Amino acid sequence: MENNTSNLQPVELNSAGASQIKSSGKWAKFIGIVFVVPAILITLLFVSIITNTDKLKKMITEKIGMSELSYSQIESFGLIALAILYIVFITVFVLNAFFLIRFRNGSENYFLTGNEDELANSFNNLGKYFKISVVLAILYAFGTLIAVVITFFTS
Amino acid sequence: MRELINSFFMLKTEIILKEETKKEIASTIEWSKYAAYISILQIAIGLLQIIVGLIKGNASIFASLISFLISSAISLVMSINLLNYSKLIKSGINNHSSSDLYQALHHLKTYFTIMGVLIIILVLLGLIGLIISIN
Repeated sequence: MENNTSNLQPVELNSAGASQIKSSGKWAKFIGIVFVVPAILITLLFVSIITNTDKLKKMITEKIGMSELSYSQIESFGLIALAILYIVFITVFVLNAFFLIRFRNGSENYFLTGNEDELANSFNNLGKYFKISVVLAILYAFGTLIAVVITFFTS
Repeated sequence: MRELINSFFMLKTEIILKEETKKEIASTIEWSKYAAYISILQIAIGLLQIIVGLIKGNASIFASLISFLISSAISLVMSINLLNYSKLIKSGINNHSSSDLYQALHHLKTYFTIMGVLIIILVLLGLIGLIISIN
Protein backbone atom coordinates (compact mmCIF):
# COMPACT_ATOMS: atom_id res chain seq x y z
CA MET A 1 0.00 0.00 0.00
CA GLU A 2 2.82 2.32 0.95
CA ASN A 3 4.67 1.41 -2.22
CA ASN A 4 1.65 2.13 -4.42
CA THR A 5 1.29 5.59 -2.89
CA SER A 6 4.97 6.42 -3.20
CA ASN A 7 5.05 5.16 -6.80
CA LEU A 8 2.64 7.91 -7.78
CA GLN A 9 5.27 10.54 -6.97
CA PRO A 10 7.58 11.68 -9.77
CA VAL A 11 10.82 9.89 -10.59
CA GLU A 12 13.39 11.71 -12.67
CA LEU A 13 15.61 10.15 -15.29
CA ASN A 14 18.63 12.43 -15.59
CA SER A 15 20.90 12.82 -18.61
CA ALA A 16 23.53 10.50 -17.09
CA GLY A 17 20.89 7.78 -16.61
CA ALA A 18 19.67 8.30 -20.16
CA SER A 19 23.20 7.82 -21.52
CA GLN A 20 23.44 4.53 -19.57
CA ILE A 21 20.26 3.31 -21.29
CA LYS A 22 21.74 4.29 -24.67
CA SER A 23 24.93 2.40 -23.97
CA SER A 24 23.04 -0.67 -22.64
CA GLY A 25 20.91 -0.60 -25.77
CA LYS A 26 23.94 -0.64 -28.07
CA TRP A 27 25.44 -3.68 -26.35
CA ALA A 28 22.03 -5.38 -26.18
CA LYS A 29 21.58 -5.00 -29.94
CA PHE A 30 25.06 -6.39 -30.58
CA ILE A 31 24.34 -9.40 -28.34
CA GLY A 32 20.96 -9.85 -30.02
CA ILE A 33 22.54 -9.91 -33.48
CA VAL A 34 25.17 -12.41 -32.31
CA PHE A 35 22.37 -14.66 -30.95
CA VAL A 36 20.99 -14.93 -34.49
CA VAL A 37 24.23 -16.64 -35.69
CA PRO A 38 23.86 -19.84 -33.58
CA ALA A 39 20.17 -19.90 -34.54
CA ILE A 40 21.18 -19.99 -38.23
CA LEU A 41 23.88 -22.61 -37.57
CA ILE A 42 21.45 -24.83 -35.64
CA THR A 43 18.93 -24.52 -38.48
CA LEU A 44 21.58 -25.52 -41.05
CA LEU A 45 22.60 -28.48 -38.88
CA PHE A 46 18.97 -29.58 -38.47
CA VAL A 47 18.26 -29.28 -42.20
CA SER A 48 21.44 -31.21 -43.07
CA ILE A 49 20.46 -34.03 -40.66
CA ILE A 50 16.89 -34.21 -41.98
CA THR A 51 18.02 -34.24 -45.63
CA ASN A 52 20.76 -36.84 -45.03
CA THR A 53 18.91 -39.49 -43.05
CA ASP A 54 20.12 -42.22 -45.46
CA LYS A 55 23.77 -41.30 -44.86
CA LEU A 56 23.08 -41.12 -41.13
CA LYS A 57 21.47 -44.57 -41.21
CA LYS A 58 24.46 -45.99 -43.10
CA MET A 59 26.90 -44.41 -40.67
CA ILE A 60 25.08 -45.65 -37.57
CA THR A 61 24.46 -49.18 -38.84
CA GLU A 62 27.93 -49.69 -40.36
CA LYS A 63 30.26 -47.78 -38.08
CA ILE A 64 28.50 -48.21 -34.74
CA GLY A 65 27.27 -51.68 -35.61
CA MET A 66 23.58 -51.15 -34.85
CA SER A 67 21.22 -53.50 -36.71
CA GLU A 68 18.88 -51.98 -39.31
CA LEU A 69 15.88 -53.22 -37.34
CA SER A 70 17.05 -51.45 -34.17
CA TYR A 71 17.80 -48.34 -36.18
CA SER A 72 14.34 -48.25 -37.76
CA GLN A 73 12.79 -48.71 -34.31
CA ILE A 74 14.55 -45.65 -32.87
CA GLU A 75 14.56 -43.56 -36.06
CA SER A 76 11.17 -41.91 -35.67
CA PHE A 77 11.69 -41.33 -31.94
CA GLY A 78 15.15 -39.83 -32.65
CA LEU A 79 13.79 -37.49 -35.30
CA ILE A 80 10.97 -36.32 -33.03
CA ALA A 81 13.44 -35.73 -30.16
CA LEU A 82 15.72 -33.86 -32.55
CA ALA A 83 12.84 -31.71 -33.80
CA ILE A 84 11.79 -30.87 -30.21
CA LEU A 85 15.38 -29.96 -29.30
CA TYR A 86 15.64 -27.85 -32.45
CA ILE A 87 12.41 -25.98 -31.65
CA VAL A 88 13.53 -25.33 -28.04
CA PHE A 89 16.97 -24.04 -29.04
CA ILE A 90 15.74 -21.95 -31.94
CA THR A 91 12.95 -20.44 -29.83
CA VAL A 92 15.37 -19.49 -27.06
CA PHE A 93 17.95 -17.92 -29.37
CA VAL A 94 15.46 -16.13 -31.63
CA LEU A 95 13.34 -14.81 -28.76
CA ASN A 96 16.41 -13.61 -26.84
CA ALA A 97 17.67 -11.84 -29.97
CA PHE A 98 14.21 -10.43 -30.70
CA PHE A 99 13.70 -8.94 -27.23
CA LEU A 100 17.23 -7.55 -26.97
CA ILE A 101 16.96 -5.85 -30.38
CA ARG A 102 13.53 -4.48 -29.47
CA PHE A 103 14.95 -3.16 -26.19
CA ARG A 104 17.54 -1.21 -28.17
CA ASN A 105 15.06 -0.06 -30.85
CA GLY A 106 12.57 1.15 -28.23
CA SER A 107 15.15 3.16 -26.32
CA GLU A 108 16.59 4.54 -29.56
CA ASN A 109 13.14 5.64 -30.73
CA TYR A 110 12.58 7.30 -27.37
CA PHE A 111 15.79 9.31 -27.67
CA LEU A 112 14.90 10.30 -31.23
CA THR A 113 11.25 11.18 -30.78
CA GLY A 114 10.90 11.84 -27.05
CA ASN A 115 7.84 9.53 -26.96
CA GLU A 116 7.95 7.99 -23.49
CA ASP A 117 5.76 5.05 -24.55
CA GLU A 118 8.76 3.84 -26.53
CA LEU A 119 10.86 3.80 -23.34
CA ALA A 120 8.13 1.88 -21.50
CA ASN A 121 7.95 -0.58 -24.38
CA SER A 122 11.73 -0.89 -24.35
CA PHE A 123 11.78 -1.94 -20.68
CA ASN A 124 8.87 -4.29 -21.30
CA ASN A 125 11.08 -6.11 -23.80
CA LEU A 126 13.99 -6.11 -21.36
CA GLY A 127 11.72 -7.78 -18.78
CA LYS A 128 10.75 -10.45 -21.33
CA TYR A 129 14.43 -11.04 -22.12
CA PHE A 130 15.11 -11.63 -18.41
CA LYS A 131 12.19 -14.09 -18.22
CA ILE A 132 13.51 -16.14 -21.17
CA SER A 133 17.03 -16.03 -19.68
CA VAL A 134 15.73 -17.37 -16.36
CA VAL A 135 13.92 -20.26 -18.07
CA LEU A 136 17.04 -21.10 -20.09
CA ALA A 137 19.26 -20.88 -16.99
CA ILE A 138 16.92 -23.21 -15.04
CA LEU A 139 16.99 -25.77 -17.88
CA TYR A 140 20.78 -25.54 -18.07
CA ALA A 141 21.22 -25.86 -14.29
CA PHE A 142 18.82 -28.83 -14.21
CA GLY A 143 20.69 -30.55 -17.06
CA THR A 144 24.04 -29.99 -15.36
CA LEU A 145 22.71 -31.33 -12.07
CA ILE A 146 21.43 -34.50 -13.78
CA ALA A 147 24.85 -34.93 -15.46
CA VAL A 148 26.60 -34.55 -12.08
CA VAL A 149 24.30 -37.12 -10.43
CA ILE A 150 24.77 -39.58 -13.33
CA THR A 151 28.57 -39.13 -13.17
CA PHE A 152 28.56 -39.66 -9.42
CA PHE A 153 26.55 -42.90 -9.48
CA THR A 154 27.82 -44.52 -12.68
CA SER A 155 31.49 -43.87 -13.43
CA MET B 1 17.35 17.99 -38.03
CA ARG B 2 14.40 17.56 -35.68
CA GLU B 3 15.87 14.27 -34.47
CA LEU B 4 19.22 15.91 -33.79
CA ILE B 5 17.59 18.71 -31.81
CA ASN B 6 15.49 16.18 -29.90
CA SER B 7 18.45 13.97 -29.01
CA PHE B 8 20.44 17.00 -27.86
CA PHE B 9 17.46 18.18 -25.83
CA MET B 10 16.97 14.74 -24.27
CA LEU B 11 20.57 14.53 -23.11
CA LYS B 12 20.43 17.93 -21.48
CA THR B 13 17.13 17.64 -19.67
CA GLU B 14 15.86 15.63 -16.75
CA ILE B 15 12.73 13.68 -17.58
CA ILE B 16 9.95 12.91 -15.13
CA LEU B 17 8.92 9.34 -15.85
CA LYS B 18 5.27 8.54 -16.43
CA GLU B 19 3.46 5.91 -14.36
CA GLU B 20 3.35 3.47 -17.29
CA THR B 21 7.12 3.77 -17.79
CA LYS B 22 7.79 3.30 -14.07
CA LYS B 23 5.56 0.22 -14.11
CA GLU B 24 7.45 -1.30 -17.05
CA ILE B 25 10.83 -0.52 -15.47
CA ALA B 26 9.63 -2.05 -12.19
CA SER B 27 8.53 -5.19 -14.09
CA THR B 28 12.21 -6.01 -14.68
CA ILE B 29 13.02 -6.02 -10.92
CA GLU B 30 11.89 -9.54 -10.04
CA TRP B 31 13.13 -11.34 -13.16
CA SER B 32 16.56 -9.72 -13.13
CA LYS B 33 16.86 -10.81 -9.49
CA TYR B 34 15.86 -14.38 -10.36
CA ALA B 35 18.36 -14.41 -13.24
CA ALA B 36 21.11 -13.37 -10.81
CA TYR B 37 20.14 -16.01 -8.23
CA ILE B 38 20.08 -18.77 -10.84
CA SER B 39 23.54 -17.74 -12.08
CA ILE B 40 24.79 -18.11 -8.50
CA LEU B 41 23.04 -21.51 -8.28
CA GLN B 42 24.84 -22.54 -11.49
CA ILE B 43 28.17 -21.64 -9.87
CA ALA B 44 27.26 -23.90 -6.93
CA ILE B 45 26.35 -26.75 -9.32
CA GLY B 46 29.66 -26.19 -11.14
CA LEU B 47 31.49 -26.49 -7.83
CA LEU B 48 29.61 -29.74 -7.14
CA GLN B 49 30.71 -30.97 -10.57
CA ILE B 50 34.34 -30.22 -9.67
CA ILE B 51 34.01 -32.00 -6.32
CA VAL B 52 32.49 -35.08 -8.03
CA GLY B 53 35.34 -34.95 -10.57
CA LEU B 54 37.87 -34.92 -7.72
CA ILE B 55 36.18 -37.84 -5.94
CA LYS B 56 36.03 -39.87 -9.17
CA GLY B 57 39.65 -39.04 -10.03
CA ASN B 58 38.88 -37.26 -13.30
CA ALA B 59 42.09 -37.00 -15.37
CA SER B 60 41.35 -33.49 -16.69
CA ILE B 61 40.35 -32.07 -13.30
CA PHE B 62 43.02 -29.33 -13.35
CA ALA B 63 41.77 -27.92 -16.68
CA SER B 64 38.17 -28.18 -15.41
CA LEU B 65 39.13 -26.31 -12.23
CA ILE B 66 40.78 -23.45 -14.15
CA SER B 67 37.79 -23.22 -16.51
CA PHE B 68 35.40 -23.28 -13.53
CA LEU B 69 37.29 -20.50 -11.72
CA ILE B 70 37.29 -18.21 -14.77
CA SER B 71 33.65 -18.80 -15.69
CA SER B 72 32.53 -18.51 -12.04
CA ALA B 73 34.34 -15.20 -11.58
CA ILE B 74 32.66 -13.77 -14.72
CA SER B 75 29.25 -15.19 -13.72
CA LEU B 76 29.61 -13.78 -10.23
CA VAL B 77 30.45 -10.28 -11.48
CA MET B 78 27.48 -10.39 -13.88
CA SER B 79 25.15 -11.67 -11.13
CA ILE B 80 26.28 -8.95 -8.73
CA ASN B 81 25.57 -6.33 -11.39
CA LEU B 82 22.10 -7.78 -11.99
CA LEU B 83 21.36 -7.90 -8.26
CA ASN B 84 22.50 -4.30 -7.87
CA TYR B 85 20.37 -3.29 -10.85
CA SER B 86 17.35 -4.98 -9.30
CA LYS B 87 17.94 -3.47 -5.85
CA LEU B 88 18.71 0.06 -7.02
CA ILE B 89 15.94 0.29 -9.63
CA LYS B 90 13.46 -0.68 -6.89
CA SER B 91 14.93 1.89 -4.55
CA GLY B 92 15.04 4.52 -7.32
CA ILE B 93 11.34 4.10 -8.08
CA ASN B 94 10.14 3.73 -4.49
CA ASN B 95 12.29 6.58 -3.11
CA HIS B 96 12.05 8.80 -6.23
CA SER B 97 15.83 8.88 -6.39
CA SER B 98 17.31 9.70 -9.79
CA SER B 99 20.74 8.90 -8.32
CA ASP B 100 19.66 5.31 -7.55
CA LEU B 101 18.03 5.10 -10.97
CA TYR B 102 21.31 6.18 -12.57
CA GLN B 103 23.30 3.65 -10.49
CA ALA B 104 20.87 0.89 -11.47
CA LEU B 105 21.15 1.73 -15.17
CA HIS B 106 24.92 1.85 -14.81
CA HIS B 107 24.88 -1.72 -13.44
CA LEU B 108 22.61 -2.79 -16.32
CA LYS B 109 25.08 -1.27 -18.78
CA THR B 110 28.00 -3.07 -17.06
CA TYR B 111 26.07 -6.37 -17.27
CA PHE B 112 25.52 -5.98 -21.02
CA THR B 113 29.07 -4.72 -21.59
CA ILE B 114 30.59 -7.79 -19.88
CA MET B 115 28.33 -10.08 -21.90
CA GLY B 116 29.20 -8.28 -25.15
CA VAL B 117 32.97 -8.33 -24.49
CA LEU B 118 32.72 -12.01 -23.54
CA ILE B 119 30.96 -12.77 -26.83
CA ILE B 120 33.67 -10.86 -28.77
CA ILE B 121 36.40 -12.87 -26.97
CA LEU B 122 34.59 -16.18 -27.64
CA VAL B 123 34.09 -15.34 -31.32
CA LEU B 124 37.78 -14.37 -31.63
CA LEU B 125 38.89 -17.58 -29.88
CA GLY B 126 36.59 -19.57 -32.19
CA LEU B 127 38.08 -17.89 -35.26
CA ILE B 128 41.64 -18.52 -34.01
CA GLY B 129 40.74 -22.18 -33.41
CA LEU B 130 39.23 -22.42 -36.90
CA ILE B 131 42.33 -20.89 -38.52
CA ILE B 132 44.63 -23.23 -36.56
CA SER B 133 42.53 -26.29 -37.47
CA ILE B 134 42.55 -25.32 -41.19
CA ASN B 135 46.35 -24.90 -41.18
